[in-house]
Amino acid sequence: MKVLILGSTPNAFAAALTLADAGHTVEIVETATVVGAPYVTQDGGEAGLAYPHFCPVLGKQWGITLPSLAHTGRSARRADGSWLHVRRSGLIGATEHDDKAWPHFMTLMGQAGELLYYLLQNPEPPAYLAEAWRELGRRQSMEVLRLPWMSLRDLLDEWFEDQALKGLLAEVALEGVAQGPFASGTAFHLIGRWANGQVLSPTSLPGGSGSLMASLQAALEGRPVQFHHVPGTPELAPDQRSLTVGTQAFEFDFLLSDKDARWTYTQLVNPRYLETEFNTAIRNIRGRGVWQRGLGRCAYPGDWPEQARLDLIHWEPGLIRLEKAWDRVKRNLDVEEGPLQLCWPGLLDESRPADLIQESFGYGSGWMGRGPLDVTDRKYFTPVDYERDWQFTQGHLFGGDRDLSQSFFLRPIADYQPPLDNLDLCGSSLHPADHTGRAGAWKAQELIRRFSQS
Amino acid sequence: MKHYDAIVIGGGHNGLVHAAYLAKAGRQVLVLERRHTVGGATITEEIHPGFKFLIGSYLISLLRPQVIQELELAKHGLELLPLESTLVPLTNGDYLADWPDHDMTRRELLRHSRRDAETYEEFSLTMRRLSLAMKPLLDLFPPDPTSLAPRDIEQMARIKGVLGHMQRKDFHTLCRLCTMSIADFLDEWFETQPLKAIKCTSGIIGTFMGVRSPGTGYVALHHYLGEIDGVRRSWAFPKGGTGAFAQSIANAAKAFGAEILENAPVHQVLIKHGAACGVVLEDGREFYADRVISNADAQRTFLKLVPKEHLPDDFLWDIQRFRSASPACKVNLALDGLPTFSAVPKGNEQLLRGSIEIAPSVDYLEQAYDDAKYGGWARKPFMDALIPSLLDPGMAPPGKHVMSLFVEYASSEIDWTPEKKAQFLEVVVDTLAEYSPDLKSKIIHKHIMTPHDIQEVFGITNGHIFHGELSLHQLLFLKPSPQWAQYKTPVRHLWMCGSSTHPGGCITGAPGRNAAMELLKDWSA
Ligand SMILES: Cc1cc2nc3c(=O)[nH]c(=O)nc-3n(C[C@H](O)[C@H](O)[C@H](O)COP(=O)(O)OP(=O)(O)OC[C@H]3O[C@@H](n4cnc5c(N)ncnc54)[C@H](O)[C@@H]3O)c2cc1C
Repeated sequence: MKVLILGSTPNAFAAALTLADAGHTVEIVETATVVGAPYVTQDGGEAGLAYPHFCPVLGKQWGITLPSLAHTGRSARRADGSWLHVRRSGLIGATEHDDKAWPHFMTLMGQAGELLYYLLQNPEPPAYLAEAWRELGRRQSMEVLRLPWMSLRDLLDEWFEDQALKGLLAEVALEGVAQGPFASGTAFHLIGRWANGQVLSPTSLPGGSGSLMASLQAALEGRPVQFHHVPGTPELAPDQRSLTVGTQAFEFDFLLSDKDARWTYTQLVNPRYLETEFNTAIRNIRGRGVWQRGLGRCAYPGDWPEQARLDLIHWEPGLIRLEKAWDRVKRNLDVEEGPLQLCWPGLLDESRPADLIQESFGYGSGWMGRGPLDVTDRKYFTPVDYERDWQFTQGHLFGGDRDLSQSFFLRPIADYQPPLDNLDLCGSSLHPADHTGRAGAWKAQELIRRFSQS
Repeated sequence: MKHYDAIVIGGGHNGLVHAAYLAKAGRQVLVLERRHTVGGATITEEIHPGFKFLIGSYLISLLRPQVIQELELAKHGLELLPLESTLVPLTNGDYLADWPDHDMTRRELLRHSRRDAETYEEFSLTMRRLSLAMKPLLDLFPPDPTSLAPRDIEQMARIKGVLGHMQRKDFHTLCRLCTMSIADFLDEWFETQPLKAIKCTSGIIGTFMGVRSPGTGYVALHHYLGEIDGVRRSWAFPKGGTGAFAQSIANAAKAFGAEILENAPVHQVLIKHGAACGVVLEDGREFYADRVISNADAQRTFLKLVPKEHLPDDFLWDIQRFRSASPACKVNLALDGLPTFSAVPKGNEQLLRGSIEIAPSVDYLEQAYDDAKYGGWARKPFMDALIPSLLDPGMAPPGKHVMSLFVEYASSEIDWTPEKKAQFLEVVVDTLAEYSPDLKSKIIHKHIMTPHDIQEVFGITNGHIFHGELSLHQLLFLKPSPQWAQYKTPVRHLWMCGSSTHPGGCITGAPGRNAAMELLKDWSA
């Protein structure tokens, strides 16, 4: 079978490698102006996502080893100039009450995160999940069941008193999420981030996350997979047997789209050929980018604590600050003061410039550049760029919001059946809604089974 | 001294329902109510001479039909007057109305949007199917999902049966509705702002969440579960106000042999050898019984009435963290005559006989929430208004009227001084006057119940009208505490029957009835 894969996130590669290993001929074509989004490194900094989590099981299978550099943790600078450091081993600079609560909170989130991780790691809930569940015991399992529906505010107010700590955790959870911390169900995002280690041990790749792309491309060597980068607008031939981009045509027996569901079923496939009900469901997918990146030059300030140098630093975080920013973004108004995260990748990774500063501005772009530091040569990357250059609908980096109403069997839409018989999705629009390569590999496995039956 | 089988703390409608069922089963029951009259938040009071005010609840929809039948409430004086319409006046002089009769609504919607008129039918059918499927859950005790006890497994199986009968598509819609915001859900169906807005309001009644907060979809569904005389999704006004409804249950309870004692505030639950055995009143009187059942909300019951040393720490924590911050106020106006609404054309005054919603758009509602959520109040509040005297002339002197306004949002976290109270009352009246220019000139008396007043008058913690938020993490087996969601409590022989327990607030009678069924089963076992 000749399979064409449109797109170049890690899911596209995982699908390609899986199919190639099963003896199918595979071509990958990327039509966006940039290859490898959302892991794009520019001048040593991250234009998109910074912390790749390629599935280690898949990585091992294809000999992709990813050396990772671990940040020491996270820090928050409070408005009064004091600092809070959040470590796996405990909190530094926290109140006594929060110090005491922290280990118990870590246990609870660890347990919830682990269960969720099992769910996200497997196409079907695995048998040992029940085992793990029983081990939690009655009280704790109920406690875990209670979590996903909560708002971050309710959850964090229950546990902690320090706004900085609450704000920091909420900011991690809501990175790229179009909701405020007061909304029910936002705690689910924190569990998700906890599950992949992003809260306490964020790691980055030497040379930047773009090096994941290089490793994935290297893995194609010696396999029957061709990679093409042809920027342009892909057009599906009426007979659905070939895809043309500009003057180039790619023939296929099956087309896997790594682009998000909305893009695939509005830009690639003409909705006129699809059922109204399906189109409505696709149109109703929610996912709007609310996260932007700034890259620039600025040395780590001399009067900031040594302890925070290798951390991700949250600027004056707080639940109210976050919610207030959201109040404006949801009305499409400019934010005067939103969540801001800073990091100096060059301090952790010698291959990058030491004064390279990486900023993430949560919510609207209106307040970009109004941060506390004097940053020069700043470049911005916003959802508008992600949509235009990366072909991500509304600049959302995960193919649509990952809230409860668009997760698991409700993703990408409830009861999703590919409407065309030789075209399907393989990217983060599918469960488990990430760029670990799992969605791509699972879809490829499903196809392989299908091909072998017919 | 007389020894009772059961003492019910609180004569709210659930306490009364509970007492009536126990008495009907032949138990000796005593109801102790702290106020001068029973009813709790279901009450009619003559605050201004001749004018009957609904200082608490005002309409009935979710009342379980079994309660009406089994307690023979009709015989005991309950008369329900169905509500005929919903009206949304707009400031541009137009309006949107909605009737139980679909053809009328369809014709009305055609004035606003052809597309909406067409989707309306399908929307209503979908909601109807979802609520039909969900309804049996109201009458179940919530099973413990971690338990392997036969009764829990059986109950789980019943729930599975209930949901298993749903069409696949409906099941998915249900899952999405429960996890989405009501505004997002309605955006998928309609385009007309006022239509979306009135449908949105079911998602925020009593709830300190905005229409764009996920979880409000569930609250909306909760309000769709209503059924009066077999007519689904309909609201009715009890003749004589909700107080008359409470009296009818009290009459039924008494007829079955229950005793009711008013002006009897309970100070503490008496506990001997780890088991509840009675109560002591604030005036020192003591009453003894085999079982004590609290109709008061969970926080009041366990943080005030039960001595701490009898409660496990984790349970206490569950109760402390139970969310009950409340956004709702109640305003009543005594009026010299019927106010006119600029949006209501001459000859269409019958529209005033239904609900009048001050909810012109989704953004209006969301803004009202945003204004209040940091501990303030809405500068332009959402209101659900009703003129009860049009339905039941007995509510006001001849020619005069009363108006009941359910108002959101104004936070229970505000320090409600008399000045603040007066200020917010002004905000409410001013907002309403934008739709009814002659309103102010007709006001004889105005009265407001802020969350603080609701707490003081009805004894409900934070004045939360549902005895705690109806958010997903406080439902079913998590209501009010993860381990104690089946009406029992960590104190032996102490039970709960109020709105803090499954299926939650509103005039349903369901917690009272379910708890009675469980208690009676437990007793005979
Ligand atoms: C302003 C307002 C408007 C509402 N509108 C509606 C509506 O239109 N429709 C609807 O369906 N629902 C409405 N509700 C909700 C509904 O009224 C309540 O959910 C329901 O009445 C609660 O009933 P309950 O019996 O569980 O508790 P309650 O009615 O709160 O009764 C508890 C009783 O316990 C008593 N009590 C407390 N402590 C003690 C003590 N220590 N000793 C003795 N007695 C004690 C209290 O005095 C009270 O009588 C409204 C509520 C409010 C506050």
